[in-house]
Amino acid sequence: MAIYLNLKLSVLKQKPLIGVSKKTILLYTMTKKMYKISKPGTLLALGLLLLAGCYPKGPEYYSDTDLTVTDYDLEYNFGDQKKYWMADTVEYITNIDNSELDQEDVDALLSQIASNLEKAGYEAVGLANPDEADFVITVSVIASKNTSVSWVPGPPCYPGWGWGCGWGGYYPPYWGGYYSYSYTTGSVITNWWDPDTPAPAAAADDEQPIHWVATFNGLLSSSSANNKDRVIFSVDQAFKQSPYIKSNK
Amino acid sequence: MKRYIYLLVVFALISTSTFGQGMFGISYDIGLPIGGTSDYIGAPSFRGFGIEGRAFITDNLSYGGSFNWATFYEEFGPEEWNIESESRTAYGKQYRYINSFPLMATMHYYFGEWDATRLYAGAGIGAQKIDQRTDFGIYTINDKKWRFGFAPEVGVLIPVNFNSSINLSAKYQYAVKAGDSDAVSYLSFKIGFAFM
Repeated sequence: MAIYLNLKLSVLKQKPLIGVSKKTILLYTMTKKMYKISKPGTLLALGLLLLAGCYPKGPEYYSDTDLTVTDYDLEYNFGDQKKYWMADTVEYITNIDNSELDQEDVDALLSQIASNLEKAGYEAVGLANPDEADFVITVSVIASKNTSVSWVPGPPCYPGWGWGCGWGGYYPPYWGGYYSYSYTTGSVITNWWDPDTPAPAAAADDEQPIHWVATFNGLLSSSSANNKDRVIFSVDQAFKQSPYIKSNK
Repeated sequence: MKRYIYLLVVFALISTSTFGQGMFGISYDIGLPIGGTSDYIGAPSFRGFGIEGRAFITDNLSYGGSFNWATFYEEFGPEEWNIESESRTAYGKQYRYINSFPLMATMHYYFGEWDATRLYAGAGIGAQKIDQRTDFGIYTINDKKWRFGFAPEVGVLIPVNFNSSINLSAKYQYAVKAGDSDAVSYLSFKIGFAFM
C-alpha cells in the first residue's frame, strides 16, 4: 500500500493524470501534509469524512412520505347505514397561485372512493336527491407550500343547484376534519358525516360531528400521474384499515 | 448543563498534558441497541467514532475524558400503526434515528506491564446528548435531551510500536430516562488506536 501511494505521488508530481481531477490531487497532497503534522488528527478527519458519507438517508422517493390516517367515532353504527350522497367535485384549498385541479384526477379520486363504498355494501343516491341519503361523504384537497392549515371549512356552495352551503336549511352545515396537522404538501381529506346526528351542545350553529375521517398526504411530485396513483392507493388503504365501514343492510 | 460540558471537555484535553504519561485515542465504534432501545431500533450502528484522552496517575491507573458519537437508524413499514387512540390508524413508513453523544469523565485500571498486551477495566460517567427522531410521512417527532449517563468498559491495549497501540474495548453505554423520554442503552464495541 505504501509503495502504491508513493508511486502515485511521484506520478502526480510530474503531471496530472488523465481522469484525476485537480481537486483530487489537492486533497491527496493536503492529506499527506496533514498526516506528517498530526497522524491522529488526520486519521480522525478521514474517519469523520467516511462516517459523513454513510450517514442514513431516510426517504428516497416521494411515495416514501405518503401517510394514510383514519379515525372514527367509536359510538357510531356504520352497519346501520346504507345510502350516501357525495358531490361530483371536491373542495380545493391552496395557497399556490394559479393552481387548479385536473378534473380527470378529481373524477378518479371520487370514483375510487365510490368503488370502495360500494364494495362495503353502501349505495349512492342521485346528486339531486341528498335528502334520501343516510350519510354524506365530502372530500377536500389541500395543496400548500406552507403550513398551518389546521381546520377544513365546510362543503363548497353549488350555486344554481337549489341549495347553498347550509343545504337549504335541511342539512346542518358541518365542521371539517378535526386534525390539527399542518399541511405542507398535498393532502386529501375525506369526511363522513350524518345529518341525523345531533350536534354537541357546545358546538356552534354551523358545526356537525364527523364520524369517519381519512387523510392522505405526502410530498407532491412534479408528475401528476405519480400523484394520482399514490392517492388512489391511499384511498384503497384507508378503507382497508377501516374494516368497521361495512353496511349490514 | 453547558458549563459542565465545557468543564468536562477542558478536563479531557488537559488530562493528557498535565502528567508525564498520557494517551490519546481515536476509534471506530459499533453500537448494538439493547433493552427498551432495541424495541425502538433493533439494527446495529456501524456509524460511530470516539476520541479520548487518558492521563496516568500510576502505571496501572488513569483518568481522562471521552467523547463518542453513534448513529442508529432503522426503517419500518409501510405498515399500519395505532397512534394515540384506539380508533386512529396510520399507514406509512417510519424512519427512526438515534444520535447519541456521550461526553464522559473516565477512570481505568490496567493489568500487566507496558511492554506487553494490557487488559483494562474502567468506567465513564457524565452527560449524554440523545437526539431521537421519528420521520413518519411528512411529519417529524423530535426529542433532544441531555441526560445523565454512565458507561462501564473492558478492553485491551495491544502494542504496535513504542508509542502506539491497538485499542479494543466493549462498553455498556446507558443514558437515564429523562421526563417522558425513555432510557437509551446500547453496547459499544470500539476498534481504535491509542497514541502514548
